[in-house]
Amino acid sequence: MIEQLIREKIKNLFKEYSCIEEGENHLTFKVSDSILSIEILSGKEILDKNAILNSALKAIQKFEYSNKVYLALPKVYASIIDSEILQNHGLGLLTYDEKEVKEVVPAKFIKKQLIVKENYEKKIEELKIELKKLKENYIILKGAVDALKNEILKLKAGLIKTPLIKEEKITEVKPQIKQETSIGELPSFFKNNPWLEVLAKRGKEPEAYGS
Amino acid sequence: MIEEEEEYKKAYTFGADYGTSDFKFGPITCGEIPKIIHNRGYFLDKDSIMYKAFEASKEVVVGDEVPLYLQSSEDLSKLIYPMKNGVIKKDDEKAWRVVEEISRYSLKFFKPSREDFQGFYVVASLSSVSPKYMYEKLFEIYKKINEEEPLIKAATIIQQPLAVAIAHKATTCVVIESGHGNTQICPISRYPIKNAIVAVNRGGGDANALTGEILKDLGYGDLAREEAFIRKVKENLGLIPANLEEAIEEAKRNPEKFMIEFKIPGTRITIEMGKDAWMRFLIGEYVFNPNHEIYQSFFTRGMPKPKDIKIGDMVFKGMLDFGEAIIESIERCPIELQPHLYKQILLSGGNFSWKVPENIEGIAVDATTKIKLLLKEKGIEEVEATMTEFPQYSVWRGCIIYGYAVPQDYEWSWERMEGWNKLL
Repeated sequence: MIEQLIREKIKNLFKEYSCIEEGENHLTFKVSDSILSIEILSGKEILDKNAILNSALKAIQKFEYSNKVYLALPKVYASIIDSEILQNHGLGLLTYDEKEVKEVVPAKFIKKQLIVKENYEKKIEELKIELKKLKENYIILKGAVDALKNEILKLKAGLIKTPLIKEEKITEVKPQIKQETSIGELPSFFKNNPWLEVLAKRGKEPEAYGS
Repeated sequence: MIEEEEEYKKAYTFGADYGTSDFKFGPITCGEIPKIIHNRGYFLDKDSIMYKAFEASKEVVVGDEVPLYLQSSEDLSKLIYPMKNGVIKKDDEKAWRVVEEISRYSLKFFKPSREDFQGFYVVASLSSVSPKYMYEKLFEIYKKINEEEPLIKAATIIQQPLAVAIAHKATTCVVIESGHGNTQICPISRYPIKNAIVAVNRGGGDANALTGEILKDLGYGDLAREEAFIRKVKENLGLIPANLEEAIEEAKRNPEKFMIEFKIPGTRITIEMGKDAWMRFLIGEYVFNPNHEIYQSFFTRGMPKPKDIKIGDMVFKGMLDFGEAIIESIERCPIELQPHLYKQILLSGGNFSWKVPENIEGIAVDATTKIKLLLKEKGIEEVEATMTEFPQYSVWRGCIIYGYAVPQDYEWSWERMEGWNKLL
């Protein structure tokens, strides 16, 4: 119950931050892109001689994902803590009792590590987008090259059929073979092909010499 | 044909020619020319930058994208040409993986957006020596593709020589298909006459090997290692003799008539044959008949002799000359049919494209004349041989006509190996 009260007081102290995680012994806040973490040493652990060291180490671990980290101790501990050591490690110190929570040592804002991490992630995202664009462009270009190849083939076939020097005598104009037929037309090699009749009878007559 | 079926097939008949080096595909609406890509697949190295950068979930790349993935000449080992010999082994997983990817690529490439589309009528074409399991595998692949996306209404598979015959409007003929690795002779009388197919284990690749040996003899041994270079030399210097001994004699008597210098385009390399120009005839003759004693010296020096091999159920003879092979094939057909078959021999494939310089016409001949001469030597006189027009497209065109004309209610029969395998 008392722990709950302390946490509420701490929240009140950092009311410009929004609390994104709350545990029995810790709180995590966020404001814009900054993360603030607080490790709370409960009054229950007051008899444990290693309790402060344990809490301090836990607080330091929070720098992995936080810009600011505080250690919150019962006020009675404040006198036995050398605040300079905490300052050297960038840790802030909060003291509390039943009445209030006080910021004794402000926490250092750690910027560098998080930004590097964020930059990497951002760069990876950017590269993924670039790669996706490249893939899309590649598919478009491939389609264009295929279309051009087909055009060249058609032009080639057309050129073969076109005489280079025009003859003076009047020649009969023959329709050019279309290279691509639309649905409904049949290619030129169907014309006068006796196989059309032969094949249309498949399955309806005995095999002649096939087997 | 029912009007509705006819209208649908006019839009959605699809041809797929699985050739040895190229894959030709496309719907009937392509008109005269299909889309052509190399019949090959590139297996991605999962540690490669490209694989990681594109988060490629596919392990094999096909089509026009392949060159983008090639990083060095070593990468060529990761390029698989599944139809190298016209036959894929049953357990050759990589080759089948390429066939699957190439089939998927082709269908998706031409997938229509029209609402009336209910899948293509796909006519695939395989080599005449492809065993039954290849048909089964290909149908399995089509089924798998359809499970992902319904693209195939019905599929069928025909032999490439039949497709060539259809494209050339020849209902009774012999189709000789000669590619890089081998040559197949397939008589057709409205149906391919399966029992009469003869396969020869000799193709353009063997002529390349001989050209390489000749280049070594001429002092270009260091250049004779590159296949593409050798092929260019073969295509530009090789000649088919009407009669090998007479041609060599004439070329030795009047070497200046046959001398040639050939500059490899885009390089500083020039091949000069000089007095050895008679060797040009060895190259062409070897394709049609490798039995002359003059080739013995090449074999004894280590050039591999075309061997008899068994691929699938078919024995490919190595040293059979083309005249003998045609006779062997035609003589397996009914006697009354044989004269008609000799009268329409269709030569198909790149291995029949040979130059005949104007000043030596008669001594050097084209492929059709050589075939006639080989048959004449064996007493067959009334022969008509023609080169196929548009050799690159003729199989695809035959597939399109076949798919359009064969009624949709004719169901696939494993006994007859034809009909529609309905997949939707």
